[in-house]
Amino acid sequence: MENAEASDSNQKTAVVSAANYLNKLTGDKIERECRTRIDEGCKRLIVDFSHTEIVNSVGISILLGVIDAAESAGATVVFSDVNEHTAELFEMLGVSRHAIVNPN
Amino acid sequence: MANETLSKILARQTPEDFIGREAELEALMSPAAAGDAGGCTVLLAAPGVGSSELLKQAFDRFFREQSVMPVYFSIDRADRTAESTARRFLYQICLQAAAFGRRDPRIIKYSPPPEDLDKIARPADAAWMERVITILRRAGPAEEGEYRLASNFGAAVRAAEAGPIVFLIDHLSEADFIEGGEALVRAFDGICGFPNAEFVFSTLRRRRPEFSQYREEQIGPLDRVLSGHIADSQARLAGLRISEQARDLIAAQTGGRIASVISLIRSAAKSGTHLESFRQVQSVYTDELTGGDTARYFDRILRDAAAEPEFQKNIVGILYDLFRGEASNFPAERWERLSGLGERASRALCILNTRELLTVSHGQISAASGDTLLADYIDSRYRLERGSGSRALIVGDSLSNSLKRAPELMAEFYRRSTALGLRELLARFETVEIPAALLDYGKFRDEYKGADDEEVFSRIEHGPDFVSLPQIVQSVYTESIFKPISQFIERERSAVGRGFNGRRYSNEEEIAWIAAEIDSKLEASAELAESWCDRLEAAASACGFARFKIWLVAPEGFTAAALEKLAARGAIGSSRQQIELLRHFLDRGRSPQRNKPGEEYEIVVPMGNETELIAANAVEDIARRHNMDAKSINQIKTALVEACINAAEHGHSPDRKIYQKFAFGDDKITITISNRGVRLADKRRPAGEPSDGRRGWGLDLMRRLMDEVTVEDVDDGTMISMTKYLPKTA
Repeated sequence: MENAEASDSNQKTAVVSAANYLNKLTGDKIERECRTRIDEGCKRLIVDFSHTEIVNSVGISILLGVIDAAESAGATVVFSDVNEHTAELFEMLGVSRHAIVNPN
Repeated sequence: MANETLSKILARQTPEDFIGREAELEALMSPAAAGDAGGCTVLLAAPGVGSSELLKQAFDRFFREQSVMPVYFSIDRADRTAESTARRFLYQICLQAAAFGRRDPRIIKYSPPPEDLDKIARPADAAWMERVITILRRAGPAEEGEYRLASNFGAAVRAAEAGPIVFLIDHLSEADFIEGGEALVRAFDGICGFPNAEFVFSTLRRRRPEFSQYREEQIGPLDRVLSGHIADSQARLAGLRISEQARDLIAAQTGGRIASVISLIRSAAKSGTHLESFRQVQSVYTDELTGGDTARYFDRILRDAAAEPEFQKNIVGILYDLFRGEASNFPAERWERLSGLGERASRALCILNTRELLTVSHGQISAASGDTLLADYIDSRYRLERGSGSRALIVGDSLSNSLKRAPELMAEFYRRSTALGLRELLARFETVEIPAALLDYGKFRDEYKGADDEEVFSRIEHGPDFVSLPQIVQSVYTESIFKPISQFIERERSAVGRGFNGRRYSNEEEIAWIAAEIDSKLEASAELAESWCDRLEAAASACGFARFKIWLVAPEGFTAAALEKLAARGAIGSSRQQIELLRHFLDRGRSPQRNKPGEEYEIVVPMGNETELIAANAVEDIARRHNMDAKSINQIKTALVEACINAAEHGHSPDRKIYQKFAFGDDKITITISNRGVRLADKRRPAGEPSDGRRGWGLDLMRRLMDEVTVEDVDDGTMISMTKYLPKTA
C-alpha cells in the first residue's frame, strides 16, 4: 500500500496521493499532509486517487475533515482520478457537495 | 395477546426453530385449513421423530390463525382407564375452546376447574359446553361402559356445531396400556366423520389403528443434514457452543431420532458441556445411554415388555446377540423359550416390534438395522447388567469405545453425505431418450473429457447417439433386498430400479437396473469393474431377476480395459460428472449452472491489521467465479468492509475474530458477518461522549449498497446478514 505523499512543485497547489485502501490509517496520513500544505499557504489541494481501489466510511469521514480545514483556510480540494465506485460512495455520503470530484 | 405468548402455546419450539417438517405440517393442516373438515388423518410415526411436536406446532398455528379451533389431546397411560381418559378429553375440549374463544392461551396453562369454564367461554360455545360440563360433573366410573364412552364423545364432538374444529389426538398407540383401550379407540373412530370436525391421530407406524376410514400420512426419521441443523439450533437455544464436527457426529449417532438429539443437547446443557470436540460429544452421549433420558426411554419400553428385571435381562441378552450378528437367524419360537416370558412372550415381542427395538417379519426376529443409538444402549445395558467390573469402569469403556469408533462413523457419514443418490435418480427414469454420452463413459471420454459442464451440456444434446431409459416403477436400496451387499458398500451407494423397457408392461420388457457407486481414485480398473459385476450379478440372481442391467459409477470413469469387460457383460460404466449431467438433463433439460444453490464459502479473519481487505479480496475472487458484474462486486466488497469494521469497532470481541459466510443462490449472494462480544443492542455510548455526525455511517452504507440488510443480536454477539440480488453478466 502506498503512503500519502505530497508534491510541492507549486506553492499554491499541492498534490497528495491516496493509498490503495483509504481507511483510518491512510486517511490520517492524507489529513496530516493536507494540513501541512494548508499551513504552508497552499490554496489548491489535489488528492490523487489513481491508486485507490477501495475506501471505507472512516476514510471518507476524514476526507470531510480535510475539506472543512481547507474551506476554513480559503483553499479548495479536488479529488482526482476517482474510480467509478468510489465516486458513487462520495456521492452517497455527500463528499461531492463540498469538493470537486474528477472521475478517472 | 402479545405475539411472544402466541409463538409457543403447546409447542416446545418456536416456528422458526421447528426445522425440517414443513411438508408434514402442511399435509396435516391442509384438510382442516381448506375447510374440508369431516375427515380423519392418521399420522404413522417412527419412534422419537417428533410427531408430538408436529401436532403441537399444528395446534399453535391453528390457534394463531383463528380460523379453525384446535384441540390437542395426548392419550396417557397415567389415566389407567378409558373412562378417565374420556373425562380428561372432555375437559380438555372445554378448556381449549375457552382459551381459543378468548384468544388467550394462558387459560390452558392455568387450567381452571370445569365449573368455571362455561363462564369464561364465548357465548357461541355455551350450549354445547354446558352439556359437556354436566357430563364431567357426574361422579363415579362408567357403569355403562362402552356405550357411555361413545355417548360422551358424541356430546363432545358437538362442539363442532359452533364452528370448525380439528382434533389432534396424540399417542394413540398408548391406548394399548389403558384398561378399555380398544373401546376408547373405537369411540374415537365413532366420532370421525362428524360434520365440521377434522381428526388427526398420531400413532406409531407399526401400530395402525383399525379405523373404518382414514387417510394416511407418514413421518420418518429426519435425514442427517436436518438432524444436524436441529442439533445446531438446540445448542444455540441452550447457550452451548457446538462445532460442525460435533454436530455431524450427533446426527450420525442418533439416526434421525429428534427426541434423542434434543435430550442429548439438554443433557449437555445440564452439565454445562459445550459440544466442540468428539470427546465432549461422546462423554454426553455415554451419560445419556447409561443414565439419561435416552436410557430411560429405552428402559421404559423394556419394562412395558417385561416388568420383571430378570426377564428384561433375558431380552437385553437376545437383543445384544442380534446386534452383534450372533443370532442372525432367530425364529420367533426361540424367543418364547429364551425370553422366559411364557404366555407373555408374544405380547412382549409385539411391544418391542411396535417400538422398533427389533423387527419381526415372516416369523423371524432381527435387529433394527443401522440403529447406532439403540445398539449402543443395548451394549451398555448388557455390560452393566452382566459385566464383572464396576459401573465406572464399564461407563469408561463405553466412552472409550465410542470415541474410538467416532472417526469411522464420521467417515461413513461423509461417504453417505457425498453419495450420488442413485436410488432417487433411478426413480426418475421414465421412458425418455437421452444422449448416450450421459451414460456411456467411453463415448463421454472421447468427446467431452476436460470440458466444463456448461460446454458439455451445450454440445451433448446435438450428439449423434441417443439411448432410451427404462420406465422405473420401483427403486430401492440394494441392501434392502439383498443384505450381503452391505459388506461391500454403504446403503446409499447402491440401488435397484425395477421397471420396463418402453411402456409395454410385459414379461419380455421387464427389467431391473442394479447400480453401484464404487470407489476409485483413478479410472476404475478392469479387475475392479469385474469384481463389482460379480457382486451385483449375485444380487440379481438372489433376487430372481430374469433380465437385469448392471450400472457402475466410478468417480473418474473407467479404463479402456474396464469398459471392454463391462461391454462384454452388457453392463454400463459412467463417471460422476456424467451422473451430475444426467441429473440436470432429467431436470427438464436444464443446463447446469455454475452458481449452484446452496454453495457456501466461509472465512474467519482476525480483527485489525486491515484484514477486512483479505475478506474483500476473497469475496471478489469468489464473486467473479459466479459471473457477477464489476459494479455489484465493488458494492459487495465495500459493504463487507464496513461490516468488518463494525464488528471490530463495537464488538469488544473476546476472540478478536470475524466469522464470515458467503452463500450463493441462483440470483443472489448472502453475506453473513458475525462476531462474539458485546451486541450492538447492548452497546452504550459513554456518558458525555457526543455523537459524531461523520461517523457511524457503516450500517447506512451497507443498506445503500446491498438490497437487504439485517442486524441480529445473537446470544453471544452480533450477526449482520446482507443480501444482494444480482444482474448477471452475459
